[in-house]
Amino acid sequence: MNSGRKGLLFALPWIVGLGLFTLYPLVASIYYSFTHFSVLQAPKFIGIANYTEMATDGIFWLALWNTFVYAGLSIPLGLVLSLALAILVNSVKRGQVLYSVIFYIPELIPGVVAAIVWLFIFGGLLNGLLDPVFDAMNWVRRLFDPNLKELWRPPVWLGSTTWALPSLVLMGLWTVGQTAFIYLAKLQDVPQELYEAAEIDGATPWQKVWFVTLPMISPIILFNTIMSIIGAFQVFTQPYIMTNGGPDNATMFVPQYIWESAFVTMRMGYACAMSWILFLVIAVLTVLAFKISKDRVYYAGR
Amino acid sequence: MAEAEPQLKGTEGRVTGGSVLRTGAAHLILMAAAAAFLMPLLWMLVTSLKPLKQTMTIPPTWVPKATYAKLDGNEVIVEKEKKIAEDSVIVIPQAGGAKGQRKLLESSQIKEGRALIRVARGGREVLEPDPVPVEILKPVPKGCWLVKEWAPDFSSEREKTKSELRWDCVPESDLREEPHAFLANYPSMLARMRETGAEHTWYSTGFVKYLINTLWVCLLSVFGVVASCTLVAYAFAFLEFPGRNWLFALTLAVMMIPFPATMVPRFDVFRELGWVGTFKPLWVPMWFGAAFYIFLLRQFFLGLPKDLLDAARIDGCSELEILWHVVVPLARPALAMVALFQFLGSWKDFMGPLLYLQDRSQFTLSLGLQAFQSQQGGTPWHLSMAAGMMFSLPLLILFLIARKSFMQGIAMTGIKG
Repeated sequence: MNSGRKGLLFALPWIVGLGLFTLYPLVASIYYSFTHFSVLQAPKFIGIANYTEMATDGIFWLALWNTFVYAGLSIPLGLVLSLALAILVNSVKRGQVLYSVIFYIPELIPGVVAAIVWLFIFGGLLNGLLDPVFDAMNWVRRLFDPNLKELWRPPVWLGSTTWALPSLVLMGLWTVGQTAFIYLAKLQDVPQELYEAAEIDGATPWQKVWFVTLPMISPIILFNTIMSIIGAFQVFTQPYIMTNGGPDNATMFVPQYIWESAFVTMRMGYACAMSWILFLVIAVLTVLAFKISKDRVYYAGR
Repeated sequence: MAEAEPQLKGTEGRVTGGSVLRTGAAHLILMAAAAAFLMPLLWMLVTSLKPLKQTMTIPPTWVPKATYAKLDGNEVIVEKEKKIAEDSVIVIPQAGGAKGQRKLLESSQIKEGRALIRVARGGREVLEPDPVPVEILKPVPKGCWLVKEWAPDFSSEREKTKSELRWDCVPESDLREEPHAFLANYPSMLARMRETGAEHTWYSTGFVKYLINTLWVCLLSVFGVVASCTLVAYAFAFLEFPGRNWLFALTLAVMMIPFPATMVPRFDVFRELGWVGTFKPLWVPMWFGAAFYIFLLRQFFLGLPKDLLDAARIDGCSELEILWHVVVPLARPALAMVALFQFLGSWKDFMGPLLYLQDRSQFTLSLGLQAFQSQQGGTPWHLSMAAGMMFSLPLLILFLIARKSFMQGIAMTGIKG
């Protein structure tokens, strides 16, 4: 048996799996997006009707907007927090392992458990901790205005249309450990000589981060940014369990709406059409990230 | 980093002092961050060890406490039911439906040795129409506490003991509070999750059943993914075949596809196969490889010494023999990593089970816990948290045992950048 045949044979499971579980579904979903399709009936071709309906579907646009807001908040916050943690951990000599273990542990908690725990935190603990702070603020305000009527109260988080989405962002920051750890691994590859050279030139710690660390790890920043984009636009489990899109669709994200269309209202063609728009958004943003970073990312040895 | 080279610094004393300060500040920030990251877990643990009444206190408490009081001469754990607001008495009615039982009445309710008594009727407490004579057992000055013997929230015996729980009124000074871990919440949770009925055994419903299902899916997925990805990665790393580079590029590309894009047709494929409502959609695809692990293993294989493979080839080994006798032993850390990640992924998976599992007897822990939470309306938080602890603990233990493997794997995820 020649090597080519052997190679194909070894790769066969993947060729079949890739075709059956990824490529065929991908192509089929393009077709389905032009059909009226519920599980019970065969798909019926309806042209671009799903797409035109989407254009006037208020919930879809709201879901898209919410998803963008969620991504717009959680991606930069997540990147900054994880990078800051990684740089801090890298800057201390003792306890690096302990810190990285602690920051990683939330990643080990199953999504359902995390959702329930945070449901409970937003429902009680958080405001229990914030109440004294607000009491103190009100006390100070009363010094200036003795007839103070409107007292400041902490938000009701998941119950509030304003705060439900930021609550989910806040909760998402709990699981930056993985990203932070990837940064940490890369930080430790940055050659010491560069820092020493910078030091001789009289660089401050802040300048060392800005002019040495960041350029040296810029490829991994790009990588993590793209991974965060893909992740943020697919957020599902936590909103599904914690708010189920509510209150008043304030946390209705595109994946949730796709899910509801496909498996609750059984409009699978419509769901496919939306998922293609989502895919497109992610693809465009990824390309954009590459384009923007083109002159800003430093690849050693290139 | 910088602190390691003090000799490079010009004005030694001052700068070193500054760097000590900086390191201290870094530790301070890191410790605050670490506390914030651990807080939700600690809250879950603490809540899982509290009695129901302490789960929603304002302000929040971090130490579960038990109240002890003497009932019938024995000191037992009690629940504080309420503070007595008016001078009261404990009486024994001499007639009527509650004859011979102890009752708590406000002193003002007794007129000429008679009082209206509440009795249990049809599951509710109703006031009897006529006053009955009562014998006064003991006076209860206001400010005392009505306490009731504490019992686990739920167990098979709970229902029958509920009405037999001892109670009394004791002055505040006779109550003793002490930190106490209510471990009984865990068996309570197990009992509460179980469905009752003669056809069920202890392992056929509830947490134990969910655990068995989860382990089963995990096991099949882990074996599948390790076996298939090893083969495929070997092909990508060491064998020439037409379209290899093209296929590898495709493998990298599909990692970027968001799940909703293929969700519906995938579901349709499994429905056509008749697999909806079985575990198969959750583990069978794993036997056909997974892009990320194939990539990871290929990178690892490429780092192995090629001479060993060539030597084996000259000795007349088949590719399968080389794979099994040369590559697999050398690649053990990488294979362990893949197995770990897949185990973690299958254990935590929520969406897969949500899509494909319908019958409660098939639920995995993710689905079972979510069902429990939504069914109970989120009230028995201590039990939800106990379930969450038991669901998370195996992963935490696994992580602490295999920490190095994990950390290496995560560091490798960044290779693509």
